[in-house]
Amino acid sequence: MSSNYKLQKYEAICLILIVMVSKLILNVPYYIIDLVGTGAIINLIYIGLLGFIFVLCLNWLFQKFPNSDIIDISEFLGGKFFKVIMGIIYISFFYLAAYVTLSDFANMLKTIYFNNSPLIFILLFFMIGIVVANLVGLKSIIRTICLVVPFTLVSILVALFAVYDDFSFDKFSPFFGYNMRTTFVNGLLNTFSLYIVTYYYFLMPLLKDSFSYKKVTTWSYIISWLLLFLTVLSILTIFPITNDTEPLNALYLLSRKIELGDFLQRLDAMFVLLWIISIFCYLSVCIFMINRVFKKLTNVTDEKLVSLSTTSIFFGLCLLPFNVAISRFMENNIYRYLIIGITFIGCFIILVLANLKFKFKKGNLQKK
Amino acid sequence: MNIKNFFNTFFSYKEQENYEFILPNSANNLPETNTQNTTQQIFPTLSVNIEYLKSKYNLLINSDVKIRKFALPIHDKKVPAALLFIDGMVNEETITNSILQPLLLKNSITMREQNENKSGRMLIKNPKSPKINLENFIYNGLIPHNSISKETEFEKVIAKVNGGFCALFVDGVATAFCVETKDIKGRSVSEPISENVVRGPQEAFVENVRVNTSMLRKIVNNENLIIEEVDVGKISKTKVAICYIENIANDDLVAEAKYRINSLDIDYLLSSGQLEQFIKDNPSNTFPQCIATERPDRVSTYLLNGRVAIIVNGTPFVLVVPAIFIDFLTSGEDRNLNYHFANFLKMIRAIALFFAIFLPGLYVAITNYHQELIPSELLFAVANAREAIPFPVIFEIIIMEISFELIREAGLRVSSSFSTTIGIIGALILGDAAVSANIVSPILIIVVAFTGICGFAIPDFALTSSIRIYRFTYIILGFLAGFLGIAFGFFVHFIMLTALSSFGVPYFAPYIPFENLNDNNGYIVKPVWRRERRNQFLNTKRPEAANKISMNWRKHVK
Repeated sequence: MSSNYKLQKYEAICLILIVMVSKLILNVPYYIIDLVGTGAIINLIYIGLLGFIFVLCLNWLFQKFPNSDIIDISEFLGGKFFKVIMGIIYISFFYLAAYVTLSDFANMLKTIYFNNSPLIFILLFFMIGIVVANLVGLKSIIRTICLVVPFTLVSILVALFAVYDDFSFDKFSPFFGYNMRTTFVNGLLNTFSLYIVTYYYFLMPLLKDSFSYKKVTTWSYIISWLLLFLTVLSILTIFPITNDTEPLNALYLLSRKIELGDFLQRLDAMFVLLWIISIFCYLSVCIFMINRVFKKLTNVTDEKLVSLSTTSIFFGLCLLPFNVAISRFMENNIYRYLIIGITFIGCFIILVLANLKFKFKKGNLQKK
Repeated sequence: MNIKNFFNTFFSYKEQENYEFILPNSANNLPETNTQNTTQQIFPTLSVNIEYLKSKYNLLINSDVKIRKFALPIHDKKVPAALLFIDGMVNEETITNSILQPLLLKNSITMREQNENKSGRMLIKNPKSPKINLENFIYNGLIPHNSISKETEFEKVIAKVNGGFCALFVDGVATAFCVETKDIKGRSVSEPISENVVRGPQEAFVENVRVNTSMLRKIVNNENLIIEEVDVGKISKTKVAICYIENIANDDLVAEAKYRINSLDIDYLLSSGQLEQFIKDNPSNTFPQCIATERPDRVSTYLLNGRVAIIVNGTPFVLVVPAIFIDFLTSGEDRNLNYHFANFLKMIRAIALFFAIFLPGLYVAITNYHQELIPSELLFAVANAREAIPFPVIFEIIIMEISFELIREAGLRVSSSFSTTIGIIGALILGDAAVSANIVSPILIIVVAFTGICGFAIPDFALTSSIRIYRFTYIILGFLAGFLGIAFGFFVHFIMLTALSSFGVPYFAPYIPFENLNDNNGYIVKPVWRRERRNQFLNTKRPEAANKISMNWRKHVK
């Protein structure tokens, strides 16, 4: 077990990118377009800039707390009780994130390849993979991510650009979408697509060099946003926007359009192969985060036991009867608001208050 | 019963009784006299020494251990003496000419001359006289041999005799004289069997550790090459040589290698393959974690780059540690070739590795789940070929893979004269009869044959063996869940592999974790003039392997 493993810059960026990639593979681009229509481009630029300012603020706020994550900062701010509350919130949040991802992806796989197999059959593969990964430890997960991320990024870029023949820039108009209010005010809800920011709250103590936090967050944010932007741009230029569009996995649909001459006409399965591995990596990271927070709350030392327990609970969650509609509802109506509420509002306020407390304490000490 | 007792009774952890395996053999009850380390000092009386040795060597039943008794003429006395050696391990001519003749003839001649020369001072009047040191007299004056040592403990004497030395015991002297007379028959240096190259040295290691170390010395040609020798195995006391270049290799690496070997508590060690399993970081993983090579030039290259070589007496395969994954895709020839061609070959090997592991699994997955990947024309051809086959693809491919493994195994086990016959039979069965009988489809033959060829293209035997196991796993996973199964297998496989390290070096160095590839680290072979630095992950004492401008002659070109 290697839970004390510290990440290098490159590894930390890959960790953040795998989170973003998993969102791109699933329905995040669709939800963005669904909300603001053709205004998605201008909306993404807008929320991208806001997000970037937010990340810069995070960097500044974390300066006072090197080697601390949001759980430690909560303890600093509100004592152990507040730490436990924050821990439980985050454990539930990561469980939900993993659940939504897995249910969505497993349903997609079932629809495409395993019509006759029960969902549990697909889930079992993911569960075993996650258990093994978490038993082996963070070091192996991160190293696998480092291998997978470049290939996945290439696959996404290929999927985006290989269909350039079908690009139709007329589909951008109207550029501001349904109306300005929807694009700029209602469209703020699309900040949920910058879900990677959640991981910035936990990144600091995982880094080998805490001074590289700024670089890691900045670069990972820029690359993630670019990927998101390109994906949305490609989807917009290929598919027509209608109100009754089915929430299909847009990247998968893009990959189905790739043709290499007359010989290779359906390469989507190759992309799916890579994306499955990415989802394995992402789910392992989710469970790792749950284990980490859980250990912080309880001081449990047996990592194996924690790993097995958290994965068992996750498996139990996934076995709850669900269908595509439920998972979509959760993603669109609960998960989206939770991300905005917890990541962009709640934790930010905690950080600001913790900084004020830090200043106040320092001032008191200086007076004494 | 209170609540606490109730919980203790029903839910408390009870230690499981340990499973103990007892071999029904009375030998277990025998005292371990022969395996215990003897620290018995040599006795001054010859007869006692001989009795002791007879008991140690079981001379009543042991036929090759010889004790030659004789009387050593010193002055006017006959001092009883005995030689101990193992027949077949010593050179009898050396014993006769360098030990017995000087002791029996030269000694008496010297005495006679000294007696006759009255003007000369008599050094030896009486061997029992306190003035005379018989031990020094024999050591300095009677045995004209370059390699002789004095031992006072039976343990050391026995170890040397087992290694081909001859031990001389003299009555009245509590010391044994060990003279090197070894002449162990072994094969001579020949061409490598498993690592053939076109352009490069054509000699391979042999079974004798000393011959192997001399081959390394010949190539490295530097006094900083250290060859430390240790005995491994309480019974076999196998000679293991740990080789490194003192001013290059990392001290911690050398210490770790020595520590692992020295701390082995085993009865015997017979090969480097066994030693590899004892010292590798993760013994349960099938992937090789030490390089095993029979090429002295390859080992010398590794030594000069700061690695540690381990030679086991009795094995022509030398271990090199630490080993990273790309070492197993590297041939001894790569550095001798033009770097363009070497890189081309390396790329071919990487492709071969991919197909050797995944091709059968991918074939099963695609034909069962992802038919859309196959271009239409090819899909028709596959469907057409499979039309008359009554078995599912998984059955077909497992039959063929097992047949292939059988032919391969049989070809290795039989003598070379039969292996051609087996190859022909195998080819006929695989290639023709199976297809004619509609047991397998021709396209599957192509898949299995191509996979087999890809396996042969990988230079390392241990890696190939490991791949052969995983190939079956991927076939089953491909059958169970198509690309989901393959992705699952790959993920778990890679998670396991990234956890590996060899003597502290990550298995996928220098790529994962990512290191500076400018330091001659990576898979790509750099031009010979750009190989200026040693592998970064080895943390050597001399990071620079060449000057920044190694080709000084180019400086003078105008």
